[in-house]
Amino acid sequence: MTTTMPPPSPPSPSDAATLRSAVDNPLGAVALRARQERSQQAAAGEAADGGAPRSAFSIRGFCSWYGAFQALHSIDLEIPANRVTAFIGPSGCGKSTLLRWMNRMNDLIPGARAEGVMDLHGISILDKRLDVVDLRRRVGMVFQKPNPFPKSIYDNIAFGPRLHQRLSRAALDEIVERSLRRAALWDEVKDRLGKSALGLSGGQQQRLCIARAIAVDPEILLMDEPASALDPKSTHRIEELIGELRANYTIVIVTHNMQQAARVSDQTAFFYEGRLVEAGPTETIFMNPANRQTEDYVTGRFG
Amino acid sequence: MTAAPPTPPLPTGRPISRRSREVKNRLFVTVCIVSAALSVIILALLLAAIVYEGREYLTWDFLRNYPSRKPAQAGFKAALWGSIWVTAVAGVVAIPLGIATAIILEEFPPRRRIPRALHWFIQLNVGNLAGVPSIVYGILGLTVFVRMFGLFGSPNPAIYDEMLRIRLRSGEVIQAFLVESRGEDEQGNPTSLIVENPVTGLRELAAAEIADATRIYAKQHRFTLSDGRRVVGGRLDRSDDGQITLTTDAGEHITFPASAVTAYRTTNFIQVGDPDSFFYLRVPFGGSVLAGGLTLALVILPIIIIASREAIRAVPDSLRQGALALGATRWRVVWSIVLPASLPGILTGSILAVSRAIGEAAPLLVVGGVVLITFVPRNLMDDFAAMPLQIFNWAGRPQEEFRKVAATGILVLLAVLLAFNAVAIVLRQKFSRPLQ
Repeated sequence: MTTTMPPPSPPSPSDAATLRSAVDNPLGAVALRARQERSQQAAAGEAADGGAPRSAFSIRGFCSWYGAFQALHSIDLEIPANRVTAFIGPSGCGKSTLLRWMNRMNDLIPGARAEGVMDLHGISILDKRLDVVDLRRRVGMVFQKPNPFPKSIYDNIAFGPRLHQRLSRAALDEIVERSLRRAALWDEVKDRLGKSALGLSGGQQQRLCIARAIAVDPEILLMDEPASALDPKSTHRIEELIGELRANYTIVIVTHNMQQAARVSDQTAFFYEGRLVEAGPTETIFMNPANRQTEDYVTGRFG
Repeated sequence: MTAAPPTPPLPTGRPISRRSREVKNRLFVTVCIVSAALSVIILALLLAAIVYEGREYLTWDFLRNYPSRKPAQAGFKAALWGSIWVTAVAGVVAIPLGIATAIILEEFPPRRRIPRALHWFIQLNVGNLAGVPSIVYGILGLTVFVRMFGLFGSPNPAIYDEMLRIRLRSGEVIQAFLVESRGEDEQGNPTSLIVENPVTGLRELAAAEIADATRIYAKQHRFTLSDGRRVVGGRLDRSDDGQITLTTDAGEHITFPASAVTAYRTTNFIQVGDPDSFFYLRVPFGGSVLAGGLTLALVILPIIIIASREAIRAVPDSLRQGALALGATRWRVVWSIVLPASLPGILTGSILAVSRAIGEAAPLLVVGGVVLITFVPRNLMDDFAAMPLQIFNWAGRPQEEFRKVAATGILVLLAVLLAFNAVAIVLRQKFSRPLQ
């Protein structure tokens, strides 16, 4: 499952043992994920020790068009691994466009094209030969409006894993349970896994969508205004969840809610009219922005 | 800056009285109620009239008997089963084709210019095809399925042994069956031919008139003899003493006693199996169940495509995006997300289309549904009757009593149609779940 990605750290003997057991263990996927979690935590620990955080995405000179309209102008941005990066800016500033390039969802839009560099761990995302199926498995996405499939809760979570692997029932059960647990939804739905996901509340549906996204074991989670269609209480749950997920995932979140960006993110990027105005640690952007426009926006003077 | 000037009052007109509003409202509601009631009353009257007229012959025997010249013994069995066969063929062919077409049109719109133009053209024409009168499909079915452009000779089981294309010295060209050759000149050639064209009838042609004649096809006689020989030939002569002489295509005459024949059959088309086997197939299809079913499939194909497209379009795009973002391929998105979600709509549309096929008479009339057969089709190549055709035939007969038999037939047809619609409603209820 993880063969296509560069290992985050050189495999230690214990990793090799896990890998071996993963091969002949029917719960291979679960074991592999456990291994990856450990290494990611290790990477996070490394960063906390003062080492510079690794970059997940490196974006340099990135431009994007819809037909003749240029939506993004020469963006330069590093998205650190195992951090939460927030994209803020007024509507139409290009933040969602950039997000949707990160797992090539813009492929679906006729006339959308991009130039420049966008690398995920050194692999060019814009490469025509890139396997987008694999890319999207590694870079999951949560949408603005909850979009559970009209299937059972179980089948919603199992949909992704079934796409990529042949799994035994037991392994699938475990993936479903752990994904739901991690999305803080397990206790609410464990007695009705066979029921339609459409019977859940909006907030629960959105957490289900997050659980569905992490069930395929991505490295990166893209969130396009994940709480904007939810009530304040559900929004709070989602924000809590983001806080819990940051240890294991690189998260990029687009938000219109300034407080939300301030609360959940480590790094913030401010976009305006297709340009990246300013990016930096969230504290700096909100307390001490270098740019006048950024200051006006984050203090609510416009936008 | 001076203070803003006071805004001038908005222009006013003659006020509309409350009474006039209410009258208009009531008038509109009344018109709507009356037209709704009218359609229900007409339907009720229609049903009542048919039930009244058809009640006499509505017995189990009506469903068990074959058509008869006596009204009391006339039955619907051949028509009922014929309709079931033909409609089943139409459904089996048109439903998968229609759904697949709807998927390609809705889910895989091309990007490049030429495929995009083609896509647009097909879309446009699916709409047009749905509006084409069904008799036109009948003509198409006759040419393509029944006759296959005449590429394989005549589709009808030959009544006569030979069909000729005769060019006359006058320049006229006749295509006709050879009925009889008359007279004999010094070389042993006939002095005149009697030929029959199914449309223009019998005609006698003097040998002197004929420029040349080509045989389009001939019936083939295949004999298996007791010594294991197989003999195939185009012309057959039986003598009174029990000898059979077969003339092969090469002109050779083979004579053998009738007692030596262990198997015999005639063919005049390309065929697989023999007419008694369930998989019997021949080309061209002739006026068979298969030809009728394929023609009806053409009639209902556009309806199924349009209904399926609507159902597929109603699936929210957010579901497709959600699945794609998990790494699903386009095919998986269609198979696991779009089709299950649009299934109720697709099924409803398909069933309504099939029930339209049951009621179609015009195309089958052209393709060659028959009304006086006393068997149920055994395979796709058998002749068939169909309910609407049988009703049409009965209603057109001079005897008053057959009017009642026709009404009974209509009752059965309506019962089948209502059963189909009921299934459609049940399916819709069962599968439809809110999507968002």
